[in-house]
Amino acid sequence: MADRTPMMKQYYKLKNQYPDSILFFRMGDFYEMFDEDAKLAAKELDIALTTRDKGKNDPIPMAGVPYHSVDSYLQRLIKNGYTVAIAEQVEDPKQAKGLVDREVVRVVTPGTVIDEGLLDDSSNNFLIGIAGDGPYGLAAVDISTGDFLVTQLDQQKELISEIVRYEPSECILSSSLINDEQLVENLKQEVPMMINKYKDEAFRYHPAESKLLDQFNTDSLEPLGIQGKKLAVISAGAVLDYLEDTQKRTMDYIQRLQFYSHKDYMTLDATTLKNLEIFQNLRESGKDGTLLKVMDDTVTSMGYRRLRKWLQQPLLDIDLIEERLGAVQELKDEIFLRDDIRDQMDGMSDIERLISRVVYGNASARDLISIKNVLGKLEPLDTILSDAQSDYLLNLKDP
Amino acid sequence: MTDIWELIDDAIIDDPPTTVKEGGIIKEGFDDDLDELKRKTKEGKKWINTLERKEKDRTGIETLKVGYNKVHGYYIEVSKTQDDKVPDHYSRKQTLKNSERYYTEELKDKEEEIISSEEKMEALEYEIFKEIRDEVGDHSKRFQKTAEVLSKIDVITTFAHLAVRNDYNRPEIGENGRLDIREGRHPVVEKTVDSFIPNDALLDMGNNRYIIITGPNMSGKSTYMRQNALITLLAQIGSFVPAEKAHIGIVDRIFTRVGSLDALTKGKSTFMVEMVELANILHNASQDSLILLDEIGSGTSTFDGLSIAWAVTEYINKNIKAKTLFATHYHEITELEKSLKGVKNLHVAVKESEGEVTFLRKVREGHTDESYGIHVASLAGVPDPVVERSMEVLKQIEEDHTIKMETKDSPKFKQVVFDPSTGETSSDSHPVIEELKKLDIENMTPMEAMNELWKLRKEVED
Repeated sequence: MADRTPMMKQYYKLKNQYPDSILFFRMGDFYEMFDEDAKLAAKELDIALTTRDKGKNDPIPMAGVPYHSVDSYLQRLIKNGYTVAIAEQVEDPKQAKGLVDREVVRVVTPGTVIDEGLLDDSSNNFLIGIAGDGPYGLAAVDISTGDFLVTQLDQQKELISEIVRYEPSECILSSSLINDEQLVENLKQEVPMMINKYKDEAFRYHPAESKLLDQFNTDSLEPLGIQGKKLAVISAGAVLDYLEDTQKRTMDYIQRLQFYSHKDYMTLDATTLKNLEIFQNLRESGKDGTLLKVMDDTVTSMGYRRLRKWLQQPLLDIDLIEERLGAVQELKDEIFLRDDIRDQMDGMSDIERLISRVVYGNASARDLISIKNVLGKLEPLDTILSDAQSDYLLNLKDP
Repeated sequence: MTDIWELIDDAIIDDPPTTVKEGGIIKEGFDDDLDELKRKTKEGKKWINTLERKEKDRTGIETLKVGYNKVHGYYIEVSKTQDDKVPDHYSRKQTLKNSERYYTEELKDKEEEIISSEEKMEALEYEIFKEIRDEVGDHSKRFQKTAEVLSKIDVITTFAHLAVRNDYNRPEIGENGRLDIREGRHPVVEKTVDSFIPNDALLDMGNNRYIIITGPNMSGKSTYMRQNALITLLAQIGSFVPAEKAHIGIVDRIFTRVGSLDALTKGKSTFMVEMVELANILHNASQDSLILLDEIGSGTSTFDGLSIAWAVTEYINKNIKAKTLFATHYHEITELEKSLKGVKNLHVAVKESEGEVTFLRKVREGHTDESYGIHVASLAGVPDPVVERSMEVLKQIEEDHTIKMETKDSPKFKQVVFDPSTGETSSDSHPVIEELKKLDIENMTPMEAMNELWKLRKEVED
């Protein structure tokens, strides 16, 4: 290694910081990979494996993907269970004296993707963190929608059931939990997700608490409703820490935390969700023949995700149920009102996801136009809703 | 959110390109500096457009052309045949086979002007775009709220739409723990069959707490149990339900124990999985829960299974008091209706005429005695010789029993449960008959059945 070029030295320096991820090293219009990363990527992505420094007696294996189509390559690697650290040129090559400075600008993991091509419109994409070893704290965050939900559970069985509900794509655990073979085995069996170890410091109370206070700009946990819920605080703080560490920026889009008790909702454990074929059929784990499929006649991705949430969490409070039923009754009876609403909403873009890209600085001008088009439909929708009588619909008026 | 609409509308053109760094995004009239740069670029390009005509006139070179390429920028091209007419102030830029390319100081200045204002324009457009984007981003909280509202309107409207299209009705919600469903349907299964037979269900905290459902396999027991759970779930998410009428007492949990296909493929013993799930239910169910039990104990020998099913029924009914739907092929269990308060027998009706069995899929009060397992075997395509032989065997067994049963007052199952030894090894019966009794014909493959028959015949012959 002594005779490596300065650029390769720069590469190895970055690679050493991200030994567990595939490092995409930006060189001009390409992201290059070297050594084992290159071999792995060549195999997984079906791209050519070449070498750098061909003349020398120890050429370095190299493979590259063009930057303009990086999304599809990322998608395949993430799907196959890898994480990718992206190193960009952080100064203008024209102005650089000598070697262009490069830095890892984010780490792409299944639970932290925001790119359009990497997300499934029809479902949330949750990253979860678990704290404690019974009772447990559980935090679930979707940075593409800003959902941040936290709860505490007594038993492992309840924990697993709750996790199954979220269908997370990634889970972070402290080193002590990752060594809990029983837990990890149960998680693997019930939820197909990436399980990552994350640094123990993040799973301590005080750092976690101050992360939360910072994030929500408050000086006590009380307004967040999780004061005294130690494990909930730790899981939530650890998840935030991980997000900042991988995304290299503050998580501005996460603006509220919802602490809930699983006792607010009907409990549907993993077995029951499976047996009743709510989200997946028993035969092939597909969507055909499921309750979700029958009930899905939503006209927006936002509505579809809401339907999934409701199916996962049936209510126990009669008043809340009656409110919804009252609104359904009205819309069932008022055919014009119903059709007008559906027509107005049909084809509405997913502003929840679009605005996350705006906040994270990834939105294009086209995204802003999509947002504008949705905003343009709000006033007419509001006018339509002003004919409504039921409390539930009236409460939804004038967002 | 009209303010944000206006912000975007004022600044961004309606059909912008996908890239954000190459300009063409910001509307004219939004930013004076940007408009000035655009004007300069335009002017420069206009000047170049008129250059060709001007130079042709000035030099008299007919083949003179003004062109542009990425590497060399703007140039004046003259074919070699007219090289002699080129004025002195033209400087050579590039030589081609048949022509020469030149530039002039004036052209070079204009080019630099254009390039510099184009670069500035693109940079400025990007800056303005980022400002607009950040300003929109500052309202993300309002957007989240709006998205939440839109999603709820969408789902509620969808529920209304489904209620009309699928003929769902509004459930009554109560706290008395009573589930009273009239003409209920399975929301998923009804979509796959021509005519779905609706069924009533009544479960409460009193006499109808524990419903035992008997009936042949494939007669619709599972569908019936599941539809009641699904109707309850739909009611509690605020949807109308596939039933003529429904009163739904709030249920805190739904538990299910049904024969699971996936456990088999994962290589766990079915019986072990069954028991783990059962243990979970017995530990966690409350009197406000709804439990579905499908064929408890089918993964083990008949007597083990029956004993467990019996004990579970007693335990749930006495200790947990949860509303339970229990489908079973242990007809012996139905006897519990007589001794346990809250236990109620239902069965799925079957019509039999001239040896042909029709499943009516209608749930009725009381229990059935026959399991029609052989009929199911026939429906499933088990070869006729096996089906016919099974009928013969069954008939023999039944006849043997009838003779024996006549001499005893108490029904067979009581012996089995309360005194297993007598039931299992009755000394005066042929061992083959005992083996036949234990056969779980409904769950056998034709091959297994065939092998079993061979084995039995061999034993008789021996």
